[in-house]
Amino acid sequence: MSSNKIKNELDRREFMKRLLAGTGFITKFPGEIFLSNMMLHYLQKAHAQAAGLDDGFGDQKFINIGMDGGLPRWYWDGIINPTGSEIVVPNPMIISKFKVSGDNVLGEYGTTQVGKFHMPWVWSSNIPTADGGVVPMSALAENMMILRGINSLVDSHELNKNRHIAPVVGGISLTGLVADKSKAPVPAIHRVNGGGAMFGSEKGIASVDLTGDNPLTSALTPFLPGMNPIELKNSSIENAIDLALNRISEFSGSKNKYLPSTFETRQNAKNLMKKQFGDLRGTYDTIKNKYIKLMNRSFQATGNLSLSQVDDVPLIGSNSNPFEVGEVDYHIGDIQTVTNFNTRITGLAEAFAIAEYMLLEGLSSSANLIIVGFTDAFYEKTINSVTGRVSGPRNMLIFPDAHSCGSHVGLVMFSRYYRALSACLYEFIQQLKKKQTPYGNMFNHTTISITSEFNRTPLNTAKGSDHGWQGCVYSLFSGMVDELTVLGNVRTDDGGRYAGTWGAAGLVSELGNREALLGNAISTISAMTEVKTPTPNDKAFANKVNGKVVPFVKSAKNVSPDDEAA
Amino acid sequence: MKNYINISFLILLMGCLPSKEGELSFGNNVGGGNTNRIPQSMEYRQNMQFGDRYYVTNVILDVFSIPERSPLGNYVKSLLQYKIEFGGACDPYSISDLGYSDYEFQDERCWGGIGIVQASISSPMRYSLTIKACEYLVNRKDDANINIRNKIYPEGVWKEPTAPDVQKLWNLFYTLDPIDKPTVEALLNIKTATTSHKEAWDAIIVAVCSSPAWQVL
Repeated sequence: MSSNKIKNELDRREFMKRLLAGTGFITKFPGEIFLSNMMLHYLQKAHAQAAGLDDGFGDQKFINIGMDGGLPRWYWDGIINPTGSEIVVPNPMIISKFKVSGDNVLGEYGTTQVGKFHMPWVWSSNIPTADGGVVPMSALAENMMILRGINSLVDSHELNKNRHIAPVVGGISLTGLVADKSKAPVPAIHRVNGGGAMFGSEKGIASVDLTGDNPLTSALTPFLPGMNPIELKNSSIENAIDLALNRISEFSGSKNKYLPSTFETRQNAKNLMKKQFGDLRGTYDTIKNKYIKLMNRSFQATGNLSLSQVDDVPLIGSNSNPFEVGEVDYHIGDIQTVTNFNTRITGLAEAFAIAEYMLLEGLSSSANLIIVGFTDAFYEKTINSVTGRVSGPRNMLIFPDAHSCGSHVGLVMFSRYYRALSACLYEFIQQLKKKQTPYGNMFNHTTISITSEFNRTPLNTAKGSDHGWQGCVYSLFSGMVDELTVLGNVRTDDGGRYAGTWGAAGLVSELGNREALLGNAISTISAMTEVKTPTPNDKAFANKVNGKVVPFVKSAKNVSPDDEAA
Repeated sequence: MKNYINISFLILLMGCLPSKEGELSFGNNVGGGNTNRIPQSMEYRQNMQFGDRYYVTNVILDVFSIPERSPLGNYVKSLLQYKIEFGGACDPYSISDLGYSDYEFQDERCWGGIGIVQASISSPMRYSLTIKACEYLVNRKDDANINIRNKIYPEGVWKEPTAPDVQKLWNLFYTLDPIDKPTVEALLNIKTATTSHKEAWDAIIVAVCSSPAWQVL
């Protein structure tokens, strides 16, 4: 609360007291205290609501889900042929479905129409819903904006993990900027599974670490009131202490203009201590289990959750490139068993459970949540091409940094990964849409970004892929986006060992005939979340006008390296 | 008279209504800071350097006259000093940049499982822990509450709070910032919500003890 607002409030209260006293409404009797405080309480509450202090629902929200490892994006949002008529140079790794030809199972890149765009084949599948049913995956794309062809300029897992939301290493982050404007009591949270801090706030706000198996309790235990709370003993005492603190804040503000902000934060702490959280562990487990079940069904990939021409194709591996699973290891068993009902993406259910609870309760505004690889993934049988040794079956953790992941194994694994992610994302968005706030539907002022350190460069041998930092992708989900939107140019072909169209950045005329950089994507998110951009020299892909996203970069073309920008 | 009250009340409440924001545009016409100006983050941090976990704990132990190595002292440390939210290195003699970065001691691991130790900054967790520590000590019948009382009233009896008494309490926490008259009055006003001298002092002490400004260096 600014010092002017506090002064006005105190003046209003004093005036109110005298007004009430002058009218004889309040006289010198014991009830004076109660009535006076009652009126003051209503006045305070009205003022608090006017100042936005009453809750953490009205501000812009930003959630970043970081897929650790640098995932191949062509299966999901690395759109290879957005219009259906772009030049596409094939690469044997860039496949989205199988085609049976005699005894051979070949891979091909197929698409399905979603809105105006030709999306990878996985978008033709269904995804599970929390009520036990299914919904077409294309429903997720209704409020999706894909920014493709982004050159991060640097090849580094750790640096790029940070730079996707904090472009200047050690500087301010998108999560920090959103937290700075937040009215929520715990403005910023993160769960980075041992990753970098990548949080920077201009106001010195801390991001709370929610690692561990009981993160809500960890986050909120400090706010459970003590055994005999004095401040919260009764409303009269609470109001009186609040007034005194307001005065101390004003007094402090006369000495240091930043001090009143600490009193605002203290007020947030007290408001949290008044909140009845109930059984936090039970609540967290309930929400987390919901997302686990969505993952279970996605990875099982049977019945109406089976992706045709992928999950329903009998596929036995062999000692050949499409089935590589290690530098010298090949999967020679049933590829379709690589995931099962118990397979999970590490950290996914936890991330969405935390985001859902903290946002819907108005407790947080910005979150950076990192998900890792597959657990309980399964190689039925592998062969070492050097020793000839056959191993298996083995239950394992698979890290998505898929240097050695052949085309056919990758298609099965990652098409299910992205379906699991999509199912959880869809459910989270439905929860946001259901949440009505005094400022409208919460999804309308939430921006969710799905990022990874980089895309991947597909080897033209079909054995795997390497770090595609030249062609990153951001997928953004928000009620501000009215329809599926794909922006950004990619190159048709780079030649060499990564020959083909995979998503490397192409020149964009709206950006000054140069490649899009991370800063352009970050400026886009800044525009959507109404914060200043940490990269003011990089224009946004899209602006926000009257609450809706309006593209500035209009093109989504595949450009030849020799062509001028589209 | 009734109409006068109603109209006055309406005028007051209208002043409390949120102002309607105009339609706004964000994006390529926004951004590009004035690079000649000190960034707000640096300016903020130059003026807002928070005491670390040792500082906050020591002030409270000192005000309530609690020996550091007593059972109560150890308990107070568990409430404050061993909490990551207050920030500061595991070694109290480590040189800190006093909040210029958020995770200046990120490789350190302290007692009680504190990991990724951070710089000392403002957070609701810091203040809720402070509130709880202050309330816990004020509620203690036999030691902490008596100790602070004796600093205000050497004769050992709680009395009705007066301006000089409130000043004494204030000076225990704000050793370099003398209190002003309106602040004294605001603190004295707390007694109007209570029913006994002790209850009044409990609330006044909690207000001052849990106010954030004394934690700023």
